[in-house]
Amino acid sequence: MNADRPTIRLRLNDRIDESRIAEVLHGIEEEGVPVEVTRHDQLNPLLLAHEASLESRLGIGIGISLDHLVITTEKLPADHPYLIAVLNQSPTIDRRAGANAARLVKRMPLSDLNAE
Amino acid sequence: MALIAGIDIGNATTEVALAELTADAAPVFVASSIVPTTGIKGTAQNTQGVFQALTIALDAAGRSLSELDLIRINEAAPVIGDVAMETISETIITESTMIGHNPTTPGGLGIGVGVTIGIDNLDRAAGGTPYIVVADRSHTFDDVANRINAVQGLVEITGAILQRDDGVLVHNRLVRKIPIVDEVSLVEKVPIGMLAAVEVAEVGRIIETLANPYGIATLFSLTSDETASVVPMARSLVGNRSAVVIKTPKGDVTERRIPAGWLQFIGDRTSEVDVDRGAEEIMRVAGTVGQIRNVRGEPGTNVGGMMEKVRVVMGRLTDRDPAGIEVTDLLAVDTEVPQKVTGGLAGEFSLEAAVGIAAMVKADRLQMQRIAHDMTAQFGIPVEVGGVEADMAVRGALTTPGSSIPIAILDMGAGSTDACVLRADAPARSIHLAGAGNMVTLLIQSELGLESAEDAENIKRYPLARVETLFNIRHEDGTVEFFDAPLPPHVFARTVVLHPDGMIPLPLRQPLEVIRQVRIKAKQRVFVTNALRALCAVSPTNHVRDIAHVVLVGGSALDFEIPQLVTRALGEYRVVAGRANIRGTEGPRNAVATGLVLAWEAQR
Repeated sequence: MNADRPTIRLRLNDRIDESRIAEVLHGIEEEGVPVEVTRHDQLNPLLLAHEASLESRLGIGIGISLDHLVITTEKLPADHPYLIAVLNQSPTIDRRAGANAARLVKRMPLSDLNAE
Repeated sequence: MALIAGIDIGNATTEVALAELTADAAPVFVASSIVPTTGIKGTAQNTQGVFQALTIALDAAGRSLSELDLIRINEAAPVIGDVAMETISETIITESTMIGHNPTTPGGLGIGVGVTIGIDNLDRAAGGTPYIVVADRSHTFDDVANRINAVQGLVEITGAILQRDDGVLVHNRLVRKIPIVDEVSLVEKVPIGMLAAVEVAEVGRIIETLANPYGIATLFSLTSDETASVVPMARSLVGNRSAVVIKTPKGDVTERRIPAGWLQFIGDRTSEVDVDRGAEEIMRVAGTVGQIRNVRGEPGTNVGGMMEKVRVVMGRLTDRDPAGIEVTDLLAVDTEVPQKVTGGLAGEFSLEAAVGIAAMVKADRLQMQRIAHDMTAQFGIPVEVGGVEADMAVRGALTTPGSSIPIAILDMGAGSTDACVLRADAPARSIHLAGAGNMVTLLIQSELGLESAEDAENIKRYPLARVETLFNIRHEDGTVEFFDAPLPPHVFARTVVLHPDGMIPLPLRQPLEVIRQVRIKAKQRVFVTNALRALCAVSPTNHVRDIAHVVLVGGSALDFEIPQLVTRALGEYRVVAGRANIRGTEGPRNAVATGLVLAWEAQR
C-alpha cells in the first residue's frame, strides 16, 4: 500500500466486525473520496480517530470502537473530536457519517447525524 | 415647565423623545427610547408598545408617568407590511418527459440513449436494443450493479435512473461504465418502454447535449417541427450537471403565462395596465394618472385577489368597510421566483417571472384621533395627534449638526418611504410612497426560495460569510477571519449570516455571491427606485436634480448598505445625500419623535 496516497484513515478496533462498518464506507465511496481501513487493539475511539487523522494525508480520521464512531481532524486535540455518532444506530446515520467525513475533505456542508 | 413626549409609531418600531420645555428656552431632551411596534401601525394594538416605550424613556430620565404633561403622536400613514407576490409564468411537464436536477453525486459520465426498462424485467429484455435501466428504492446498489453486470454481453445497457442516492456506488461496481442519474424521488412515474437519453457531465461542468435543442433532435431523430417543440425542455435543463429526457408520444414541457389581470389606477385620469406587462410598465402607467386616489385590481384574477386582500386586512385592522379603503400608492417590482415544476420527477425548480407589489392605504386621521382618545383614557394624560409624519421628520432632521433650510429628507422605514422638502419661503411639501424594508425582505425571501421570513430578514440586515475551514471564515468582501475554537459542524462549509448573536447557516445551495447580489438588487429596486420617485414628487421643479441636500432618516437608514446605495444613486444627479444624526446623538433614529416635540414648541 502506498503510504503517500491521500486518503481518509479509518482505525477500527479488533473486536468490531468488518460488516458493521459497511455503510460508513459506502457513504465515503458515494462522495468519491478514497479511504484506508486498519485494525488496532486500542479500545478508545477518541484515540483511534485522533491517530487516524494524524496518519491521513487529508488530515481526516475516523475511529470506531465500542459502538462509537468518531470523526476528527489532525488540527483538533484527541479529547475534542469534531463529530460523534453511535455506530449502527441506523444504516442511514452510518452512511451519513461516512459521507460527512468525505465532505470534511471536500469542504461541503455536512448532514445532521442526530436527525433520522 | 412642561414634560412632553413625542411618540412616533412606525411600521416596525415605536420611538419616544422625552423633553422638558420651559418658557423662552429651547427644549431640553432628557431621554429617548425605542421598542418594536405592537400590531399594525395606526391601529389600537399600538397602545401597548407606546406604553412600553414611554416607561423605558421615563425610567431613564428618572421621572414617572404622572409627571408627564402631554403626549404627541404622529399622524400615521398605515401601510400594509404584508406585500404580495404574484407569479406570472409557470413551467409544466406533461407525461413525465424529463428529469433535470442536480444530485450532488451522480454516477458515470457521458451520454446514453435507450429504451426505459424496469430493473426487474432485465432478464426478459431482448438483445439488439439499447436499454436505460430504472430502479426504485427497493433495489440496493449491490443489487442494481449485480443485475446489470449479469446481463453484460447479452443486453446492451446505456444508462440508469435510480431513486436512491447510489449513483457513484453503482458506477464503481459496474464492469461496463454508463451514465447514472440518481436521487429521482418520483422514479415510479418514469414511463417504461419509451426512448430516453441520460446525460451526466464531468465534475465542474454542465450538460451540453440535452440542453441543446439540436442535441436532443440528433439523439431522437426529430423533425424540425418536433425540434421547435423541445426548446422549452432544453432551456429548462441549462445549468444542470445531469439530466434525463424521455420521448413520449404526447409529452411536452411548456412555459405558460398565467393571466394575472389588470390594475386600474384612478387619479386625475383613469388608466389600466396588464400586470403581465411587468413592473416597469405598471409604474409608467401609475405615473400618468396624476395624484393617485385609488388602485383597483381586475375582479376574479390573481391581482384582483391580491388588492382585495390588502383592503380586507386594512378594513379589519381599522374597523372600516373594506370597500371604502383607498390605495393611494403602489410600488411594483419585477422579480424571479424559484417554483417547483409541475409534473417534475425529482423536485425540479424553475425560475418563474413574478411581480411583487407593495400597496399603501391612505391615513385616516379619525383613526389616529381614536387611538389618541383611547390612550388619553388609559394613561390619564392628554394625547394629541401631531401632524403629518414627514413634516415632523424634517423638523427632527434639522437637529442634525451641519444641516440647514432648505432641506430635503428621505425617511426610509419598514413599510413606507417618505420624503419632505422644506424651504424658507414655502410650505413643506411631502409624500408617502409604498415600499420599504418589508418589501426588500419579501423580494429576498421569494427570489432565494426561502421558507422562513426570518432568514430573509437576517440576510437583509447582516453581511454574509462562508465558513471555509474549521477555523476560518471568508467575509463577503474577501477578507479572512480566524477563530481559536473550531466552528460547529452545522455551519461547516456553509454560507452564513453574521448575526450579532452568532453565525446563522443558510439553507441555500447558491454561492455566496449570488445571495449577495439578490440582497443588493432587492435594496436597489425598492430604495433607489423610491428615493428617486419620492424626491421627484417633492422637488419644486419635479426634478431630482433641483434638490441640493438630502438627509436620510428612518430605520432602513441604519442598514449597513442602503444609505450607500442611495447616496451613490443620488450622486448621479449631483445631489448630496447623507445619514442624519438627530440631535447629534440619535443617528438616523428618532427624527419624527423629536420633530413632534419641536413642532409643539413652535406652535406656542
